[in-house]
Amino acid sequence: MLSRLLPPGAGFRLAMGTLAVLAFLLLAGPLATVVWVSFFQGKIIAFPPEGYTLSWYAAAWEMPRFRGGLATSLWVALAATAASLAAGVPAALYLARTEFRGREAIQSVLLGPLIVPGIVAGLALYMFLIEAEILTGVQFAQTMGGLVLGHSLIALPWTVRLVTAALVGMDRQAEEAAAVMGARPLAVFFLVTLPAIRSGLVAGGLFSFVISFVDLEKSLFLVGPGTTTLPIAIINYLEWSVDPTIAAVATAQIAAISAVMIATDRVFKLTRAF
Amino acid sequence: MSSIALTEVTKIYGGQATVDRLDLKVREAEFLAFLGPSGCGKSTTLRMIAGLAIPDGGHIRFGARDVTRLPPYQRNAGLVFQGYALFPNMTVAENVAFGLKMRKVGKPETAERVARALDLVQLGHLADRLPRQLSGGQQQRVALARAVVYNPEALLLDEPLSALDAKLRGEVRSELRRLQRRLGLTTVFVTHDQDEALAIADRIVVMSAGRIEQTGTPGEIYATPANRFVAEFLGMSNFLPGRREGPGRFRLATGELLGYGCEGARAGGHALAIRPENIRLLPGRGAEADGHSLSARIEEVVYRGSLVEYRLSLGGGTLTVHRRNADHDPAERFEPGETVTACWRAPSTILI
Repeated sequence: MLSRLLPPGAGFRLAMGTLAVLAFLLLAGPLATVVWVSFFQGKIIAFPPEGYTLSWYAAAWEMPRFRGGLATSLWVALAATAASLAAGVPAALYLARTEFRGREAIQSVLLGPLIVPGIVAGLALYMFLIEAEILTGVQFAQTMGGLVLGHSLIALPWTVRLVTAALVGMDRQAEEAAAVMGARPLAVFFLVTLPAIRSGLVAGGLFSFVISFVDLEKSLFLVGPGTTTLPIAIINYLEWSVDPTIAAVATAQIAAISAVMIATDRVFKLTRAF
Repeated sequence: MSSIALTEVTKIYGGQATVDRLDLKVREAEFLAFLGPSGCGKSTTLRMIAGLAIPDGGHIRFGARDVTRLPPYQRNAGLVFQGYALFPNMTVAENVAFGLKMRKVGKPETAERVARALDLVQLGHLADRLPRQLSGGQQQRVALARAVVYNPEALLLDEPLSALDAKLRGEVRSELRRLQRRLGLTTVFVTHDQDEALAIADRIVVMSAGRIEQTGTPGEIYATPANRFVAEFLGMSNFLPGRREGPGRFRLATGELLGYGCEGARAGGHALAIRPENIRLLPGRGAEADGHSLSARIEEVVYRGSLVEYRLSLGGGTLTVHRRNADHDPAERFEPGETVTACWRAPSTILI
């Protein structure tokens, strides 16, 4: 019998190992397929491929909708990241350090984006912007500003949560020591607090960027002429045609996010933030 | 340097006075230790001196300057925590330079003063290291250098040695004391460790429940504790219950009439306190001795290296006696079950 031949526990380890490999294949399989398809030669996606080519990448780059979408997505993601950090850090400071009524409630609300379906959140944001437009007479919906605002709102809970976690874990005596040594509150914040929570800042910033960069459902309501993001451009293209161009664009998107992650990891070990 | 004066300083947490109308003066260049059990208000008092807590009543002065409501960054104090609280993202030299940077001291002068401060704690060769690359003792010395480099008016130390292991603690303690003398720093030191307080301080303030129990030199506090709390908290004491029967006369609960040396400043009059090392043991019952004597039975003998600890039972209770173990003289050794005479001189007892 197998169980007699193997050392104790080996059967269990074998089962776990197999499960892990299967799970990994399940996760990586579709991604690998997309990358693979992007190199297919034929316009009609067929297995096995007729041959391999890089021309779809060139074709995608030639299409203004994708190039524009990429630029828009990058700008929106950067702006949303900056905005969510600018608003999220003070919010996290207050939440982590001040006892007040309703603190628990606010912290639960901040879990909202995990519970509310993206399409619902997008619709709500859209209606909010329209109402704001009616009230003020300024156009918000379908502008770059509205898009950035929407994306920052989606990213904000992540920055608040991650920065709060970093704040809770930091040594507050360092701040007190700095104050006694003559540092005013602002100096304490920039010289002691911020460096101490940079794990949270980096993780929060990264999350914001990625969430904004890949967002589709909320953006559906928020984009307008000239503010089409890359995921929207992909969806629009897919309505009329399916060819390896789309796989090339998707591969480029995966590469962009991977690049951001790797670059961040270079400066800062991401595993330390989670 | 300046003196520090606390008048009627009070701090209330959750409706309770953590520090209760505290009056105290720390003299210029004095090394003062706050000693007490945890929760006695000693750390809160230190935090109020540093400006990290604002008193609910009373005044704190540095020299003639009233700092009661000044924020910490305007007080010009130096503070060292138990947990070092170094800035992990800065090198040793940058940590030490921090206070000077806040005071806008020029670059060349900063470099020179940082180097001098690091030499003072013998860490000049580690200036470019990060705190996490140093041992606990080294980190604490960096924290010390960081706190004195800008010539603070007061040096405040919150259990600075407690995180270090026993051997290192002794070393850093001596170094701290040398540094304090050399710079003439007015120093307030908070500790729950009586040995530390006795060894390092010019004066000790014993605190409990937000109040001062006694203030005095280590010798005064050890030899003449003001009350039972101090006698129990500092060193070991035997308490013989009974009552005072007039000046210098005390009637034990078991009937014997005894004299005593002095009365504690805040004595209750219901016990005599005597230190274990002030009792001598003679073989047999009712041995002739100068001073007072009581017959007792040896219950337990604990060998403690430089001394032998005897636990005795007598009429109304127990007595702990420490005898020096020099030369291991067998004539001075007793066995459990032996009857002995415990004797002492009246001046070494205190009415508590």
